[in-house]
Amino acid sequence: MCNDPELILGYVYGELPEAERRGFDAHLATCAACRGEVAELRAARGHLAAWTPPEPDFGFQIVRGNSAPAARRWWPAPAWGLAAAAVLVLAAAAAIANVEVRYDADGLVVRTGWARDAAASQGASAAAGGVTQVATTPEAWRSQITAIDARLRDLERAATRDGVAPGTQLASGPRLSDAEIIRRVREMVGQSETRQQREFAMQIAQVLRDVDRARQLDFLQIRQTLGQHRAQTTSDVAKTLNYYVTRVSQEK
Amino acid sequence: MTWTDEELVARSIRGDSESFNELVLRWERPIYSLAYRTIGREEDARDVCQETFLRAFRGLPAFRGQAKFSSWLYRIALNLCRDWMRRQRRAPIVQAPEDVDLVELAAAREPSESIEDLVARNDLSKVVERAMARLPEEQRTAIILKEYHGLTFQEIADLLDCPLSTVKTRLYQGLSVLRKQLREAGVQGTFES
Repeated sequence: MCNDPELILGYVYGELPEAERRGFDAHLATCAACRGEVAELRAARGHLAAWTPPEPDFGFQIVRGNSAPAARRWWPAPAWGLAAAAVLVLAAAAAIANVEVRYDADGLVVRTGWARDAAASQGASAAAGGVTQVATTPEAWRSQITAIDARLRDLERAATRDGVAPGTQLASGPRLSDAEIIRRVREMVGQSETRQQREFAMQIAQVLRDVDRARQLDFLQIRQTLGQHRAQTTSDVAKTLNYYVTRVSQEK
Repeated sequence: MTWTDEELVARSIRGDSESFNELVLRWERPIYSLAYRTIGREEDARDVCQETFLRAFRGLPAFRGQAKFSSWLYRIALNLCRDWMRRQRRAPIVQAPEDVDLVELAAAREPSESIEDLVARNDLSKVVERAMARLPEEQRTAIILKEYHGLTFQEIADLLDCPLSTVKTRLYQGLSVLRKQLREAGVQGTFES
């Protein structure tokens, strides 16, 4: 049993079958080396427990409904939930529009087909309803965010028309109206957009730096080539002159 | 009523946004912890966490329940962490500050813990973090999944697509290197069974 790491690990992590565990217990009673190894591994595990990651600050407040079914519920506001929430909001709100969200090798596809026949083929519905790829370019993101923002405005108008929905509140804090929640979501959309713009600007700056570097390299290369040509030309002229001088002197 | 992950996934696919919300709430901290311990940067770990849920949401229609939802999330997060490390072409970064902020520390203090114990625990946390950052990625991942996420050897093997024996070898080697490093860093003590 000695020098069997798998057995020792299984024992330390409590993943040995009962019979094997009892057998190893009996072995430990007589083997100081294995006892020491087990103790060392447990010590390492104990030390590992001291490592705690920083408490994440996701920068959002969680919205929870009451135990009673809420008339309307909203997403929490985690940053990553934003795009997902937006797509879901669009999908749910446009359920009557027969919206389909699909993800495959082509990426995320949001397909809309007003009053589309469920049996209609994908190609036909794509042509009729339009297919929107959720792209990763800043422009595409921006247009999607704009669409989300427009949708939020619609929802806000609807919320104002319907009055405040009960049952939606912060986990710890006062109740918020739908309008307030929408305002916060819009703020997050704005933050997301700002971030996308910043990243885009950084990418542009990087491209400009790359172009500038390539340009400087090209100049350097041209200068070197010109120098070589100049040296070669001078040498050729000297040779030609020398040839003519020699011929003239021979003719004389 | 408490729904299982799989039930929440099914409801999310049917368009119930609140169900996906519940999944996010349920798994955000484990995924963040996994990302933080793997790549060692708080902000990047948050980004990985965000991207994990975004990809999970996008991939929901294709999720057929062939694996547990949590395993699926872990796999997405680990792949993103690997991408991050490949992009950075470097090992995890240890961000632990040199100075100890006692005020900040006090907030994390256990009721029965003295301030001396607290500082010692914080120091140990930094030592462990540094030692873990020096481990090869595969060993570190095995330790993280086992120690901090409580996965079984078999679950880790399935997640990492490698044989069971490989998982145990990585784990054992990782722990052996780790305890040597901790000893060199002056961390003493054994746990008698």
